[in-house]
Amino acid sequence: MRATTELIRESGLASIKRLSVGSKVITTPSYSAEIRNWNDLRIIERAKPNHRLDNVGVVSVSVLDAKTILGQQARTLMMFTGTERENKIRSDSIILIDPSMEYFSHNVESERERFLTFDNLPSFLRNSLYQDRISESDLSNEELSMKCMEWSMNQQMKYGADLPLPPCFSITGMKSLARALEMNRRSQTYAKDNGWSRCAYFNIDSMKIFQSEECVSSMITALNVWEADVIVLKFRGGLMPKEPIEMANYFTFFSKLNELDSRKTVILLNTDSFGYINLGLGVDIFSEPMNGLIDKDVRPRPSRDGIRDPYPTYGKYLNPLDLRWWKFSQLRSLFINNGNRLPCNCPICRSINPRFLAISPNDWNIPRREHCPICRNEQISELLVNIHDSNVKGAMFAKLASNEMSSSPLNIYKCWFS
Amino acid sequence: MKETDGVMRFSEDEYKRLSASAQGKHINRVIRDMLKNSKNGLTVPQIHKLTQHSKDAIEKHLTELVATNFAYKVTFGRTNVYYANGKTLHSFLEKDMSLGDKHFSFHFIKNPSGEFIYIQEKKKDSIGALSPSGGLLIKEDLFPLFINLLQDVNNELLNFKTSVNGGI
Repeated sequence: MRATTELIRESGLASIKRLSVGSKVITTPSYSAEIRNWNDLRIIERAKPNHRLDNVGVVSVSVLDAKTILGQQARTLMMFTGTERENKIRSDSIILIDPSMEYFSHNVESERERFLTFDNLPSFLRNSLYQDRISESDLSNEELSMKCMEWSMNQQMKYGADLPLPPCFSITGMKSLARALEMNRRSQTYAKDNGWSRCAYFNIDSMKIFQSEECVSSMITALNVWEADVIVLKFRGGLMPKEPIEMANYFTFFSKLNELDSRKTVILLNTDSFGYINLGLGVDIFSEPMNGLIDKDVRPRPSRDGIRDPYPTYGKYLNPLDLRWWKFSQLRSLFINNGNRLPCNCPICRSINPRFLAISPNDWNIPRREHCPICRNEQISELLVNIHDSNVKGAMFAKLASNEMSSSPLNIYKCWFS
Repeated sequence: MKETDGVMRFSEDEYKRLSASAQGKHINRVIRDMLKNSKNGLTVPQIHKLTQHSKDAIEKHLTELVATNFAYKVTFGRTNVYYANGKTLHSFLEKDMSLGDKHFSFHFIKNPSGEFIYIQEKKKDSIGALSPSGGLLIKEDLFPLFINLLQDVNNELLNFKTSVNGGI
């Protein structure tokens, strides 16, 4: 079934749209919780009805994690235990499964090894991955790229994705961009053959791509030609454009995306507050890991003697005032300086205040994850009201951006309005 | 050729590297798109010339499309010309619905033989792809009669069930 986008209201580059995929309909701007394990799934599933998270309409999962969360084994387990968790998520949220193909070409062994655990991985692909990471020259191999495309798209649909994303390796320059464009074209043809929604997906190394105007214009030209229903972007290698030329190209890219066709939904994958700020630049949905660890390489991996390195004891916390993720040690000082109160006034943070200093990691990790979608839901609610009133500048992040004390991610928005 | 305008296709090399099931779906979709785009209909040699797929495969898919009422065949002497089964007349009558594991699409279409209500049955495979598996073409003026017949069948079924339950 094809995804359709209806434009409801516009204010500047920001807009309110309605995205329909089959029987699922969500209003954008929307937040997408990035789920990495059972804990995340349980938390988002509980938080959605309990806190009325109407602006959390999308759930994104990496294909590597989807195997354990949404795969057949998980379904069978739930059938036996009587907990039909994933069915709830499947019925009320749009599911995005990130193909995570960039790990093929990266030297990240733990992720590459996880691809090898898929039984139905094409033998050609399996043999290539067994030997080593897939090199630049391998990526030009038509056989390899077609097998990747077919396997990845089928795998996503098998796990119940609503929008099948084309597999896309990291785009670092014109050569890799040409390959990504080719892969997108093939994937859209494949999606059309199967009657699925057609998505364009760019996995952009922002440090390199936004330095050249040529790359930006090539992407826009391709998007003009394709009849994609949804545009999905993933920035890697530093989210923030820093140089003036990068920033100029960045804004050109988003303003041209808006000129394309306002009926296309733009989704930003794997971001932090940067994604939230981009809602003002025409992005409709942004996904953020609920534990604040954007870089996936922070997963525990076996060390030399075979013992796994543990996760950080206390994870990061989203501070809604400066939109940054704070470490627990920093948060502890903030808590004391703030009169023994957390900076957020959401029901979760209010409930843990009196015993915060003596909190154990197990007791802390669940509420801090639950606090994140609640905060984002409130921020997006405020943004929606402001777009309705044609006053997107009045949204909370714009107010913060005009503050001299604001942290660096907010300055991008300030720059846009100045 | 005009017929291929706007039809998304894999190149010959790409097509060869697809799995057999994906190849079948691709030819089927390409032929459907070509039929939709052509005003004067298409013959098997014409499609073969444009797509380079084998004539047998094309004929097989055309037969399937005719069987599912997506296309219809007109014979001129020894030549079979295939046409897409009309264009939708009213968008409000383009409806999709699911009944259990089956999916149905309703269209109000027009072709040289007249105006029809077209009910298309679709099946969903393990990866969620929808493909037409059957179809019903009913003349628009006979549609009320068809509904009455369905109603009669339903009444008879209810009577049968009542009599069986009563008997028990």
